[in-house]
Amino acid sequence: MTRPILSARGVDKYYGGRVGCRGVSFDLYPGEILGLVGESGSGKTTLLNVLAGRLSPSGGRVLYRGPDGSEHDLQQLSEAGRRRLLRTELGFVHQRAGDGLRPLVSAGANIGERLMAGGWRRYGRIRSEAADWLARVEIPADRLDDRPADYSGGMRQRLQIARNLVTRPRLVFMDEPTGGLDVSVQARLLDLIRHLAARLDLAVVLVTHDLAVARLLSQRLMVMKSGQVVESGLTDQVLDDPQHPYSQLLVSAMLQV
Amino acid sequence: MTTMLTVEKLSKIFTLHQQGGVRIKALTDVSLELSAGECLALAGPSGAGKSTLLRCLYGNYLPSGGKISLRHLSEILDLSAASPQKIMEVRRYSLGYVSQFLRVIPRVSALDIVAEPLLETGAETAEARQAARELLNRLNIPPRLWALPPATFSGGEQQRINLARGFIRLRPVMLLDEPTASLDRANRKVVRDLIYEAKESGSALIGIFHDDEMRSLVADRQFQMAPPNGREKAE
Ligand SMILES: Nc1ncnc2c1ncn2[C@@H]1O[C@H](COP(=O)(O)OP(=O)(O)OP(=O)(O)O)[C@@H](O)[C@H]1O
Ligand SMILES: Nc1ncnc2c1ncn2[C@@H]1O[C@H](COP(=O)(O)OP(=O)(O)OP(=O)(O)O)[C@@H](O)[C@H]1O
Ligand SMILES: [Mg+2]
Ligand SMILES: [Mg+2]
Repeated sequence: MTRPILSARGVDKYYGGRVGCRGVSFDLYPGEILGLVGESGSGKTTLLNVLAGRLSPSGGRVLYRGPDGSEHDLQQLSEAGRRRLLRTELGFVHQRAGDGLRPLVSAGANIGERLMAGGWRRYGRIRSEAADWLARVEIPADRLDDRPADYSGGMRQRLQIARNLVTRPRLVFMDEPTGGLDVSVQARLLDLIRHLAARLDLAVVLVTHDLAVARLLSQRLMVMKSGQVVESGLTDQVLDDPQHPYSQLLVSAMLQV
Repeated sequence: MTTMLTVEKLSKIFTLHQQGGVRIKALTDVSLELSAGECLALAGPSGAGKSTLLRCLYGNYLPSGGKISLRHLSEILDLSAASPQKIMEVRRYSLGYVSQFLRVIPRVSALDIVAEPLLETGAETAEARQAARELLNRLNIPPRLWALPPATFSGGEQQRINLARGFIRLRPVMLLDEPTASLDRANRKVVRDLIYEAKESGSALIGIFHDDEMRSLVADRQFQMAPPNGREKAE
């Protein structure tokens, strides 16, 4: 069996005396989508940020395994090394698209920036690659020079996804990528994520409060409560036969998943 | 005959924490064996645990006790102790499940839903779509529906999409939960033929069939399941 792309071991994060997340351990395999669900304040965003090396854990370790098999503890890397990884092999899709984009430069430049960080230099090639990715996320080509500030919410989210995927990352962290969007826009975005993840063989850690989204996109699910993972397993198993009282509560609160 | 599946003393108890911790004994000490090329019918009254048994076998429900051994690739695998990754692999190559209900995916056409299991194991898109068209044709789904997402289809149409998705790639063990529940006579015959062909090709099947005629046509053996707290026996 292939080796995990990401391993968490006993990850804790405290904010002063308050628990962000506690004792989280799991392995994520290449090409796998792991859903992270749980009520508001249960520690999903905290855990995601620690996993992505954006927050340092109070305890425990997170190991990322590169394409050559080398292991990187994101906390042990230099700041420059971590930033390089985050701009090439890793991606991070924020819940508010604005947090993951530069609002005042063009869409094309937003996509191109990550390519340049990855060593691309020729303007023409960067521009055509950016245009190609715009098309892949179903944004009309004539919007390439517009600023994200002038985009709709759904388009901004798709642009953020294009910006992340243009460097062909192997692992992407997503925080409620469809939160706050209309249902129809959501469906389109979900479809896009599903296809791109399959085509690019992406591993994804996906935070969502929507169990239907988790059902659709993720193969595996972790349920969080008060900072801890209370249950994990195959997505359909956790949703159809939840074991923990809290998972049962969560599932029974949903209409139809 | 090659044994494909062995179930030993399988039990399943649901604990409903929302209902004050009520425990429902759905399966108690179920044991059975299944060989390549045969079809076993699960019989028993409503609530006897037929669907629960199939779901435990598929890894959709967690067994509370007992052992499930499945022939997977060239090994015998203890499914009850398999990791989620292993179960995903088993579902891709060794174990198929067809329920009565189709889970639709927004914006995905009927054709692509049916073709997906082939694509998952590396088939070319054109080849997978061609196979999907042939199967949809056999199941009498009119071509005008192929490009549409099945969310708006009738119950019987959705069930046939689901059947096509289940049968497009025969797996060595196939689990069928009332696959013909809302089909008319002509389509039931198609399903009967699909099951015959699956057996011919060496697949082992376990099915729940609501109609006696279908069951007597396709099943080689019957496994009688008793209502809760009773006993199961093989015939
Ligand atoms: N920067 C911070 N400083 C102090 N406490 C924080 C900080 N960020 C998060 N917390 C606390 O940590 C806990 C987990 O928060 P987190 O944002 O991870 O939850 P979440 O599961 O993502 O919730 P939501 O679904 O509402 O986004 C909460 O109690 C929260 O108040
Ligand atoms: N996910 C679940 N959670 C709780 N109880 C369940 C669950 N699934 C099944 N059960 C219970 O297990 C028992 C067996 O149900 P099951 O659906 O397996 O019966 P069945 O033999 O398939 O019946 P039918 O012929 O009506 O389909 C029932 O009491 C049912 O309520
Ligand atoms: Mg959050
Ligand atoms: Mg049933």
